[in-house]
Parts: sequence; C-alpha cells; structure tokens
Amino acid sequence: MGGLIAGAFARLLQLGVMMFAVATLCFAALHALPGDKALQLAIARHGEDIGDAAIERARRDAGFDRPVVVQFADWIGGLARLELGHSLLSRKPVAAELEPRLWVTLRIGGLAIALGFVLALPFGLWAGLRRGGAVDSAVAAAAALFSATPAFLVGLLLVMLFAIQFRWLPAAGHATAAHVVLPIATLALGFAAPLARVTRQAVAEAWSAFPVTFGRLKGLSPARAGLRHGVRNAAIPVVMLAGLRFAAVLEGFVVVETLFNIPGLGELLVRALIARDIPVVQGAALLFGLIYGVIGLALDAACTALDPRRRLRLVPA
Amino acid sequence: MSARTRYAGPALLLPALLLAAAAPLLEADPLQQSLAASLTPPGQAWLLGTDELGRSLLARLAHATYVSAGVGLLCVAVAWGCGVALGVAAAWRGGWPEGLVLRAADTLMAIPGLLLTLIVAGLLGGGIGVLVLGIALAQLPHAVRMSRALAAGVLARPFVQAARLVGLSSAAILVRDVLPLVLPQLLTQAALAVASAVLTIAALGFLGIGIHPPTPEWGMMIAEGTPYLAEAPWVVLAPASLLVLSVLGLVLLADTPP
Repeated sequence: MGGLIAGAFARLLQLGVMMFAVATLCFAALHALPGDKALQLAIARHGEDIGDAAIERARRDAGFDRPVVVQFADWIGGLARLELGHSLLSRKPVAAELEPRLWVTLRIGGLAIALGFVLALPFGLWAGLRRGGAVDSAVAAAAALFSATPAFLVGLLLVMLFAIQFRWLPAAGHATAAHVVLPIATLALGFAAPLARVTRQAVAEAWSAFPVTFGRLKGLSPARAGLRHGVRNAAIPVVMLAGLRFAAVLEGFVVVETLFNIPGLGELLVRALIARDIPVVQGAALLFGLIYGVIGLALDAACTALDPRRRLRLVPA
Repeated sequence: MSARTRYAGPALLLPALLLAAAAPLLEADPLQQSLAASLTPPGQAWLLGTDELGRSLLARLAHATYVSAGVGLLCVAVAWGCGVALGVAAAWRGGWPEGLVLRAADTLMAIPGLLLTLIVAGLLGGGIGVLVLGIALAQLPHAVRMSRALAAGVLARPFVQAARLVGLSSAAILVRDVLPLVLPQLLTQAALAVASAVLTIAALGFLGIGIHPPTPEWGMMIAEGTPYLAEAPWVVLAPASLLVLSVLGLVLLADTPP
C-alpha cells in the first residue's frame, strides 16, 4: 500500500508542475496578444463610444495597471481557487464553456473504450490460443496497419465507406445517436488494434507459463486451468497497455471531434487555439491533463489489485 | 523476421523517397493555380489529378513529402540529440542530478504528447520552428528515459569499471565503451520516433495548426480535400496512402534486425 500512495503522490506532484507550466505558457501568450486589453474590456462594457476615463477605470478594475509579477501571482492564485476566467470570444465563464462539452467527450470516450475492449479481447484471446492461425495473422496485420494510420484517416475512410458510398450513416454532426456511431468506431478501432495484439501476446505467455501447467497437472480441463490460472496473469499487461493507450484516445478526441464536428472538449481546444481564445485553451488543456492524471492513478491501483507481487513489493512498481 | 519481410520496410518507403528526390526536378509549381482545371481526375495532363484550386497534385505531393520528411527528421534530431546527451550524462553522474532529470522527464509526460505539441505550437503561433519545438518537447522525455536506462545498463558492466581503474577519462569511456553499445538500440527507437513525428505533423496539419498554408503538407492536403471526398476522392487518397505507406515502412524498418 505504501508504494501505491507514494506513487500516487509523485503522479499528483508531476501533474501539478505540468499544470503550472501550462498556466504560465497561457499567461505569457495572453500578455503577448496584440492590442490594449483595457480598451477591449471598456468597449465590451460600454460600447464603441467611450472616453479615456472609462478605459482607465477598466484598466484599474481588471488590474492591468499592476506589475506583471503581481498579475501572474493573481492568475495562478485564481487557478488554485478553480477560477478559470472568461472566454475572450463569448465572454462566458470558461467553466460554463467546458462543462457541457466534458460530458459529450466523456460519453463518446467511454463508449469508444468499451467497444474497443469488446472488439480486442475476444480476438486477442482467440489469436493467443490458436497461434499461427488465420485470426492470429489478421490481428497482427490489423495492429500493424492501425499503428501507421492516424485517427483522422481511419475516420475519413469510414466516412467514405458508410456515409458516402452506402449512405447508411451521417458524415458529421451531433444531433442523433446515428451521428456518434462513426466517431466512436474510429476511436474504438485505433484503441482495439494494439490492445488485441498485446492480449494475444499476454494470453500466449500466460497459458504456457507454470500456473496453467500446474492446473492441468492437478487434473483441471484446459479451459478451467486457463480460466483459473491464466486470465489473471494475462490481464496485467493488457490493463497496463490499455492505460497507455488511453493517452492515444485522449489525443484522438482532438482530431476525431474536429473531423466529425462534435461539440466536445477536443474540438473546443482546437477552435480556441485557432481563435487565440487563451483562457479557454488553458481550461481545456488543464481539464485534459486532469482526466489523464486520474486515469493514470486508477491504472496504478488496478495493476496493484491484479498483481499480488506488486502489493508485496516482490517486483519494482 | 523472414527474408520476405526484411525488405518490406525499405520497399514501403520507396514511393516517398522517390517523390522527395523528384521534387526539385518537377517542372510543375505546387502553388500554381488553374481554376478551370479544378478537381481534374488523374490522367494525361495531370498524372495524379488536381485539387480544388486546380493545383497539380503530383507537385504538391512531392513538395509535401520533402516537408514531412525534413521536419520529421529535424524534430527527431533535436529531441534525440538533446535527450541522449541528457540521459547518458544522467546515468554517468548518478545521484541527485540523475533523479532531477528523470523527474523532469516524468513531468513532461504528465500530458499526452500530441496535446503538449498542439498547445505549444498553437499558443506560440504555428510555423515550422514552433512545430519542431512542440514535437521535440513531446519526444524528449522518451529519449531521456530510454538512453539513461541503456547507458546505466552498460555502465554497470565490468569492462567500464576496468576502464575507470586504468584511468581513462570519462569522455573516452563514454565515447569508446558506452556509445557503441547503446547506439544501435537508440537508432531503432529513433526510426519509430520519425514515424511518430510524421504522424504528429500530419495530425496538426489536418487540424490547421502547424505549418502555414500554402506550403503543402500531407495532413493539410487531406484536410483540404475532405469537403470534396464524394466527387474527387483522389485528392485525399493520394496523400493518405503515401502517409500510411511511409509510416508503416518506418515501423517495419525499426523492427528489422541490422
């Protein structure tokens, strides 16, 4: 347990330092933006017809007249109180921009990852138990092909096939359930291909390892020996790789949401970057970092739960 | 690795290499528009057809290959040059500097690589220099960790201790004993890193962040062709197949034992 808590603490510390770096970069970018920010603020408040007094008042209210160091401390302090500021475009609070999009992204991501497991585990298991067979070759070929095909191409090919050729599904948008089929399939295929390959490897190794042989020796049928002594050992590398591939799924959101025009976090981040809406960029980036960090923590815990050697510190974490 | 697959990597890279080599020889200008010939299918006048602005797809593809390969190699040279130096130095020095380097590398990995590149390149305004910086930052921690682990393994071996006992300088030991043993494995990783850099460049080009138009680039060409997918699929398929072939070739090349 001690190792798990120390690992979690290290992870949180790294995440904190990274978020500080992102916030610093955003602050610097915001200050490098051209134009008088006090003037922009005053125009937003009173319209075009304003005097110097209104501009100076806006400058004082927003604190633009203070030294940069003080403004920076204020910026970071605001983050610590979870104040993300306001969008430069819509003037809405950043949190209000993020919240509806977070649910869109989490729902699509959750479904994509679930579908990925449903695709990868049976094929990986089959390939691992019948090595050299047709399913094994197909899994190897698919994993190699998907490692070289970026998510936006997988998505485009699916659109060409199912939206343009067969006209079964809509090509873009987020109105109905049919709209999210292709984006979810795109993310799930990219997640499933490497996962099936690792499952195959893990199953092949676990089934030929000592515990399963022991199960056979004590008189269990091959299926029961595998279930009792193989699955748990095979699960450890699969869970670890699944965790590593979550990063790819998070990256995939940015591309796939843009391609399919889905109002999620990734699409928001890209739009805000292009429009230089820096408070929104910062909010979306920090939220992505937080999701990634939480997944990493959950993964450490899952690996420790699955692997008694880790709990007993027989292998280095 | 059988003899059949041994040449698969180089063979898949061949189309991209030929195109990049032909780029300076091609007469067609990748920026020359002829709107009357917009979206011409592949044929006699235009070998690979034209895009929506009537620009020669062959010329754009050749120049894009040049850009992707050049920028990809540059990213890897920067990231792995700095990363190997840092990693080997950390393994050699040990103690708190090693811990510091490793913790810094872990911290850089606290955000998924593509997001880090996207945010850095996006906030700093795009362009090739910023793109290289963003990709190199995302690859640096992997280069550091990998080279430190390999170098630490070599440094623990008896011949290094012997060399120290004899009184050789650190530089001589690192160059003569450590580098020859770690370089082959690092080169394999570097080939994979080029593949990943090329994919990242294409993804950012597709999103419209990174290399500025009208400089042709694979991802950007794919994004520009997307609205015409139904009537002119070749505008997307040509850069897409080149991208997949090249990345697959690099991955297979990294798999091939020397």
